[in-house]
Amino acid sequence: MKPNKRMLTILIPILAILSTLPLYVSGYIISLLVTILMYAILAVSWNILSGYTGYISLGTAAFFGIGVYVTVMGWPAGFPYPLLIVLGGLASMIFALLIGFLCLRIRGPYFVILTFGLTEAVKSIIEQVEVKIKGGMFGNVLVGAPSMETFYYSLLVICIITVVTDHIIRNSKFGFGLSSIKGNEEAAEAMGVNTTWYKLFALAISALFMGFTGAVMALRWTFIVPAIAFSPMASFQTMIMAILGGSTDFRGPLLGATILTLISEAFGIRFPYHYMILLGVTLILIVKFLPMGLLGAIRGLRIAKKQYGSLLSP
Amino acid sequence: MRLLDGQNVSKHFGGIAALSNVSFHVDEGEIVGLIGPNGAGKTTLFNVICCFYPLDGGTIKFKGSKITGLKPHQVCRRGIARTFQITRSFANMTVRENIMVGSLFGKSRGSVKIAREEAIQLMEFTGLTGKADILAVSLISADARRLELARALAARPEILLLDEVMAGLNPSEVAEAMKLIQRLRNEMGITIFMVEHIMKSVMGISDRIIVLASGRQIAEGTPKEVSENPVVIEAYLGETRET
Repeated sequence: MKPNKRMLTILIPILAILSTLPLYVSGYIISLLVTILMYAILAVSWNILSGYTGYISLGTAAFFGIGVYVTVMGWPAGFPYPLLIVLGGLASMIFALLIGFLCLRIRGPYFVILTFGLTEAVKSIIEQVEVKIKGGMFGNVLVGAPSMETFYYSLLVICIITVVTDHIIRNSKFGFGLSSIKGNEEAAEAMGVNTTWYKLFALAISALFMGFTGAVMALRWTFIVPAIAFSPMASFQTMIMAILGGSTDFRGPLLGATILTLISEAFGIRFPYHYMILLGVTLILIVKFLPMGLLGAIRGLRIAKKQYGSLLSP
Repeated sequence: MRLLDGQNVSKHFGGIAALSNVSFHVDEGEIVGLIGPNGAGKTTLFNVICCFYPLDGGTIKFKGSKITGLKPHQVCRRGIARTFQITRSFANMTVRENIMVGSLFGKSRGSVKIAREEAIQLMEFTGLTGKADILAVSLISADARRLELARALAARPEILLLDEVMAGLNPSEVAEAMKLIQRLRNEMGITIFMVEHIMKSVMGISDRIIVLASGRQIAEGTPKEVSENPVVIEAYLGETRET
């Protein structure tokens, strides 16, 4: 898919609306959009590793949380906001390179459990360090945070970069390599794909964007404890969003992130426990009935229509 | 010229010697058949050549330089491609994309655009024309075998290791496959090293045959010599009924 005329005629108005939105919608809508954008970036970057290679990761919260903690440490020290975003992404990426070298040798359910455990481990370590330094769990308060519009625009820019990166990867040699790993890792090796490096690069790129997002969200939330920064819910939600939308290209995760954030906004605050049940049931239903996600199901219908259309039409 | 040269190759799995002191060679431009009863170590030999398993003893050289200890993807980039006994296509990708992976990452390492063009030619060559956009997972078994071959060819190998490419094919498809393999050698200059259970076909096209039994090389020679060798006949007793 090359950036053709039809795509541009859809993209330009969308971008124009998104970039001028704070001028004519309420503050509430903007804060809602910030949450949607946050999950959109997480879900698209999750897709770069897990969607393409099939290595399902529950480590999202770890990469996100490291970004959060870069801001927690850097903001009181007077680091400028844009620099914190860059540092948050880089710290997360370096962490991904270090742990990826070990984790990515393990496949299937073991990889899922390992990434989940890893997130919990990072959370506990940071908790312990905080208690040691401050003498107790007092949390971190960030004062003098930028405006909601600033968060909106920074996340919008990060989201666009993430989507463009995803699009470039999907249509490149790199993307073919990642897909072949999902298809059959041994056959991929036999065909000359350096699977170890490919997986590691995919993980690093996805961690980079998650780290950027974490660094921004720390200032959006202003009160940070490890349980918020490294919340396993972030990992689960991201995964469910990407799978719900369909992890073929960036459109699936974007769709999933939007739908689930809106549902969570409608139910999550009033009925937090019911929402958790809903999330679990959603995951089961998708895996059972829509393994390719919403967009995958639509594509399936379209192909079926093309093949059998002549039989069905009168 | 010796393309592939193995000296005293050994491989154990626990207490079982899958290969013990096997020495073999394949010359440039040859079609060499590798036969032997079930469990003889034929697929294991392919797996150690492709460096899927590390060797426990001996060395394997490709064009005079040692390949033992390399990673599978490095072996492929040097010019050794293989097919799998149980087809391992990339189920999530289309036929065309499967073949493109070979062009992109194998010995030729071309661009996406070149790979796309090469895929079209290879689909034509292997009889997959018109199936470019079908997902590999939904191919029938004969087409899945064609795809394995096309994908391996896309890597532009100098030697092709074929692991029972004819398994599950009907007689007319077997005849077609034999013709195709001869064309690979005669027109494209690719050396062939093939494991095959269908005796008629392997005897029919091989220049030379290597026989393995219980991890040892028990015979080597022209198809005629091998089929008259009493040691080979003995090793196959009880197996010959089905072939």
